[in-house]
Order: sequence, then structure tokens, then C-alpha cells
Amino acid sequence: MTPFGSKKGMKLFFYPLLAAVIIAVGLDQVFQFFVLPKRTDIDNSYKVEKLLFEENKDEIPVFGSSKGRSSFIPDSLGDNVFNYSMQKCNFDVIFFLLETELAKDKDTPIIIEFNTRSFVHRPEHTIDLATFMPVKDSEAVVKYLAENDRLDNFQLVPGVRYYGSYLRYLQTLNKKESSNKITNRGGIFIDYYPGDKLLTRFTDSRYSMIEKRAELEARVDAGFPLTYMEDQLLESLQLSLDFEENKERIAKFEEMVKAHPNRNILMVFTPHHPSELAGVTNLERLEEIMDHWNEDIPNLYAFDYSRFYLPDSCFKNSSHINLDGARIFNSALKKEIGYLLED
Amino acid sequence: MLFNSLDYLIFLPLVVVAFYLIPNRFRWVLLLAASYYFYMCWKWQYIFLIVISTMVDFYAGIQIAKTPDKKKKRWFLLLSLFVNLGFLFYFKYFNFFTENTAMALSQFNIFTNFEYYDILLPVGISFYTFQTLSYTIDVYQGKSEPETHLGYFALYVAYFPQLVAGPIERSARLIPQLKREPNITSDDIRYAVNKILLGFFKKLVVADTLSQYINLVYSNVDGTTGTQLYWAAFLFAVQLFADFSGYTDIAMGSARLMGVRLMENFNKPIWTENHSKYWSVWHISLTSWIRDYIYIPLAKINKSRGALMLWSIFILVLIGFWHGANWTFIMFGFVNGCVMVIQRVLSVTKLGRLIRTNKYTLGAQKFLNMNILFLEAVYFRSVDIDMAHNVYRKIFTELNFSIVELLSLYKFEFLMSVIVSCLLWPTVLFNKQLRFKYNWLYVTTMLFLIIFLGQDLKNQFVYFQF
Repeated sequence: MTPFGSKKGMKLFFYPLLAAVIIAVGLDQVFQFFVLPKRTDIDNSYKVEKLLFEENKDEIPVFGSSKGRSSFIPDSLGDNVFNYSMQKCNFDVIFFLLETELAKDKDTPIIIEFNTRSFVHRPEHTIDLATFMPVKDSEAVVKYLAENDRLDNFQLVPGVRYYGSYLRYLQTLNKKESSNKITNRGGIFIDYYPGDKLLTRFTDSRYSMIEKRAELEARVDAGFPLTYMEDQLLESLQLSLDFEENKERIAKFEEMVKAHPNRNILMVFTPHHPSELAGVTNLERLEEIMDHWNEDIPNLYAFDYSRFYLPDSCFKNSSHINLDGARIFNSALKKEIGYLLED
Repeated sequence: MLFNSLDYLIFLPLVVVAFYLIPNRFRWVLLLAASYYFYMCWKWQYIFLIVISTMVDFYAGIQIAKTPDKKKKRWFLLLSLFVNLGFLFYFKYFNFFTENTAMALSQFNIFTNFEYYDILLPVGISFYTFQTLSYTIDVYQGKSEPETHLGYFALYVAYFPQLVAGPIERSARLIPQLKREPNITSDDIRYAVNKILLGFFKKLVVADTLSQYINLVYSNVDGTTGTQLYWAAFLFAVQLFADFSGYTDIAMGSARLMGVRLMENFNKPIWTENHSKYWSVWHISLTSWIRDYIYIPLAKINKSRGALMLWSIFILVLIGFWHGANWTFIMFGFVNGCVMVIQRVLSVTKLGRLIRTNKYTLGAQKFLNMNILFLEAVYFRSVDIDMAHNVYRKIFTELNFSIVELLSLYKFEFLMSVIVSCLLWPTVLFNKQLRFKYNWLYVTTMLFLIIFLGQDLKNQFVYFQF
């Protein structure tokens, strides 16, 4: 007998295939028509959709990573500020958001959170398909994903397109995720301090990475061979600890800014825990770049709050501030950039 | 091509439909072409390694059987061993040996110009090498007849369902199945479909969800507590089981659709009373290979109690080293071997016998054994020895039962890991034939779980790297 030699065989072979298609498409449609329309403004795909299709001439967008999402409180900065920051988002995504925003007939400033990892080019890590699939009807989105090798045509097929993201969409339906989590126009803020013990664990982790790098570099300097694993580790430590100066991407960004002199771009290096800056051996290069932006590009402003003092109780972990920290930071930032936001 | 890809979901039904549309005498051509295509989707150049291995072993097998001269037979066996193990050594172990030699020499102030060769490990090389070796050894020992049809032999080496991660099949079992006209029943089809779904569930829902939590913890060992690391060790053991047995399930189901019964590779390995039992029900095709071709010949040399213990440690180190060219795998095998020997010694004591007679104490022994296995897997997961020892240090000095502390980091990932592990549990209790009173309910539930909870990480199977 073959699977196709009897009715029962056919049924057993083809029923699961058919059932798979029905369940996949059914779930896709449930999400398409009932779940996705209920997304809240903390959802990444909602943010992209809002940026693409909503016209608000007065809106001041904030782009950035999770650091930006937990640092900029829209209410504290102005009525028209909206925080578009997303987890893992660096210039791989910001270029797209910025291009979209700059194409609009507007003259409001744009705030961009940046840090030592902002110009790293790693689209497979930074461009999350779950963020873009709900807006897959936009030609710009499809083009952008294709340019970054993040899209195969079959991924647009109903039943496949949201695969792997269903729980993530459900997660963001609940805007106020817990009593300790506050949201405000795209921003998410943690309203507690997790304690010295947890913070120390994060800082210890950072310091041990720095120590390991120093140990491996010392061995190389002394002429001792490293094993392949150690060599790989050293390379990854150097990459993750230092500022990655991707000249090509920085130049591309500067060109974009220069091409739109009517839009002020405010680059903000948000407050960092001292441990996060420790071990960045080329931080002065980032400072030089910020100086260059301030001096040579009239509509590009850089604000360095990386060493802005905040007590440990103002941190969620060593790389993100909590609500208390965000309040203090926003108050100081507003004083410094307020005139630019009001223009 | 990955099993957990849309490509395979198209590839497999196409191959199965084509398989039944053509006469049996031509099916080997279809399957061989499909198998080579399957492998070439990954890196086409490496197909030549499989082809060379195939040609050499085919030739060696025939010559070994043909020549009456024992010396000549041995030369042909050595040829096969040299070529297969040579490839394996070059692609998998060359850098390990040279860099460790350089390190050792540097201790005596002898510095060599060690250069790391950027060699990409061919997927599944350890699996198909062992499979072809078993063929020539069996022919040499007169346990099986040489295969005279090059096409079927090539298919035996490259059969796509089990090419890249086993089960490591013996020629006497697989080749006859590839040759004969498959006579599959509706039970076979149901079993195959159910097994494939179970495999996808284990991989996409369980293993890939667990990997997210485990990767986060292991990428931040210094930032996590001993409690979190202990749970990560536990969950990693579950991930490894779900990942590897998931692969095997898909392989077995795919082969069964075409009438081939691949061997079972697992038999409830996590809940075993000691390491000896564990290694007899975990990755059965590898452990039985090692037993037949290495352990038994060694035991023939010296079968005193002390020697057998030494051989046990040796073969577990070998199994560890088979997994990868890293000291972590060697330590993994060594610790496993030592624990196995200690357990054997204890099992013959009065206390050991007493424990086995009571179901509660036996349960406690199984629980203890399970925990030891989880802890040993830390070596398996760690990038290097230092990392593994750091994990152990934290587990043994910081372990507590604080749920608050456990959930202080990666809460969502941890809770999802616990949920999917709970979902995995009932599947361990399924009957071996995967027969269900309401089969449609099983199929529909599995499909729903795979589609709704499945991860789109495009993670390859853990054992593909071996």
C-alpha cells in the first residue's frame, strides 16, 4: 500500500497538511482582524505604523533603543512628544524611521537616543520581523526589509507572516504590564529599584568582562598564543565593550541630516551607570564625533548626559534607568533643550 | 536544509509523492538525488566529502570480502579508517590539536607559529563517518555482506532523514529496507505523521523557547545568581533532550513515510537510576556503536573489574570528544565516566542493594541521578572550562529557593520555559506507537501548539554542529 493507494492513507497523509494550512491561516486572520487592531502604543509595530501613516505636523518623535524607551518621558518633554524607541533598535532601524520622518512636510525637531552601540550594523539582530510584519503592506517597509536581507517573499504569506510572534503581540495588548511598569506615549518606565544586589550583579558582570579582556590582551602582548575560543572571546569582548565607530554609517547619517536643514536633530547620549562606561577604551572618539556634530553641522546637536550623576536607586539595571532616574534626567534635559523643542 | 524550515515542509511531501509515483527500482535514484540536494542546500562543496567516503568504503567493502588474504583485508580496512577518520580529524580536530600542542610547548618556552585554519565543520560529519565505518568494520569482521550496488550504498551513506544527526544506522539494518518495496499500512502513515508533528513540537515549541532563556543566562553568567544558573542547567538538559529527540522524531517520521524504520535513539533518558542506565537509553545509536566497536574489543583485551572501569571512563571521554573539539566536552565525558564508575561501585554495596528494593528510595536515587546529569551538562553548554567552573562555583555557593530572586531576571523567558517544559512532560508518556483514541485531536492540538507557540528563530539543531 502507498499513502495514496487508499482513502484512509490519503486522509492520514493529507489531513494534517490541510489542517496545518487551516490553523495557520485561521490564527493569522484572528490576529489580523481582532488582535492587531487592539495593539497599544508600547507595541513596536504600532509605533512603526503610526510613524508611517499618521500625519501630525506638530509631533516631536523620539527614536532610540530600549535605553531611549526608558529614558524619555514624553509628558515631561512636551505635549507633542512621542517615544518611538524600541528594544534592540539602533541605526539599522533608526535610518528607516528617520528617512520616513524626514520625508514628511514638517519642521519639528527629532530626538535620537544614541550610545556606544548605535552604529553597529547587525540587521539580523536589530531588525525584528515582528515589528514590521503588521505593516507589510507598506512598500517602503518591504523595500527596507529586502535591502537588509531580512525578508523572503514567502514571509508575506498569510499564515506564515506572524509565525513566532503571536505571544509578543498578545503581550503588548496590556498597556500597563504590571503595577511597577508605567507607560507614557510609547515610553515604558520601571517604577522601582531592584536593589543593590541585582545592580551589583550587573556591574560585576561588566567588570569581569573588562578584566577578562585585559587578561587576554596581556597574554597577547606577552607573546603567548590564545586558543581559538579565547581569540573569539577577545574579539567579542573588544566589540561589545568599545564604541564601534562605523564611519560609513556615521557619514550616511550626517548626509541625511544635512539634506534636511529645516529639521533639528537632537542626539542625546542618555545617562549611563558608571560601570557601563568603564572599559570603553575609545570613548574619546565618540566625544570627538559629538564635538564635530555640534561645530560643523548647524542642525545637528549632540548632548552628552552619559556621565550625568544619578544615584544607584535611579537605575533599573546597569544599562537602563528607572522612572525616578528618567524624571531627574528629563527635568535636566528639558532645561537644556527646551528652547529647541518649542521653536 | 533544516528540518525546521519551510523548505523542508515543501521538500518532504514532494519527495514522498514522487517516491510513490515511480517504480521501486528507480527510487534509489530519487532518494539519492534528494539526499544530495538536501545536503548541498547547506554547503554544496562538502558533498564531495560524502562522495569520496562513499567511493572509498564501497571499494574497500568489496575488496575486503573478495580477498582471502587477511593482511590485504586489513589494508583495505585501514584505507577506509584512514580516509574517514582523516576527514573527521582534519575538519573537526585539527585546530584543537595544533593549538593545544602550541599551548603545551609554550609552557617550555617553545613558541610555534600556530595559525588557526578557518575550517567550517561539515554538518553531520561525525554521524555519517561513524555510519560508514561501521559498514567496513562489519564487512571486515564478517558480520555483514558487502553491498554491491553503488547506488544503494551511496544512499545508505547519505539517506537524508538521518544524514546530518543520525540515528547512526548499521548497513545490515538500513540497506535492505532501502531496497525492498515498501509495504506501508495506514498505521505507518499515522505513526509517521504523528512522529513528525511531535518532533516539530519538541524543537520549535520546547527547545527553541528554552534556548532563549538559557542563552540569556549563559551570556551573562556573572550577572546571574546560582539559583538562576541551576535552573538554566536543568532547563538546558530538557532543551537538549527536546532538541535532539525532536530531530530524531522528524527523521524517523520522514523515513517511515517511505517505509523505512529507523532505530529509536531515546528511551525516557531523564528519569534513570544511574549513569549506566542513562547512557544505554540516551543517543542509543551512538552508545551502541561505541559499545560494539570500541568497548567490547577493549574488554576482550582486559576484562578485570578495574580495567572495565577504566574502559568505561575512556569511552565516555571518547563520547564527549566525539561531540566537539573542546576541553569542555572532554571534561563532560570524564565526569560522566567517573560518576558512572562510582555508582557501579556503590550499587554492589549493601546500601546500594537496599535502595533498589524500595520504590521511594529508588525514586530518590533517580532524582539524585537526574540532578547530577543536569549539573554535568553545564560542561556541555559552557563555552570554555573557565565558564563551566564559574557556573559551578555560583551554583554551589549561591543556590537558594527564593522565587523572587529566580524571577528577578528574564522573568518572561523563564516562565515560558517552565510552561513549555510542562507541555513536554505528557509527550514522554505517549505510547511508542503514538496511537491515540482521537488521532485528529492529537494532530490538531499539536498543529495549534506548533503554530501558536513555535519560535521563528531559525535555530539549527544542537546536534548539527557535531
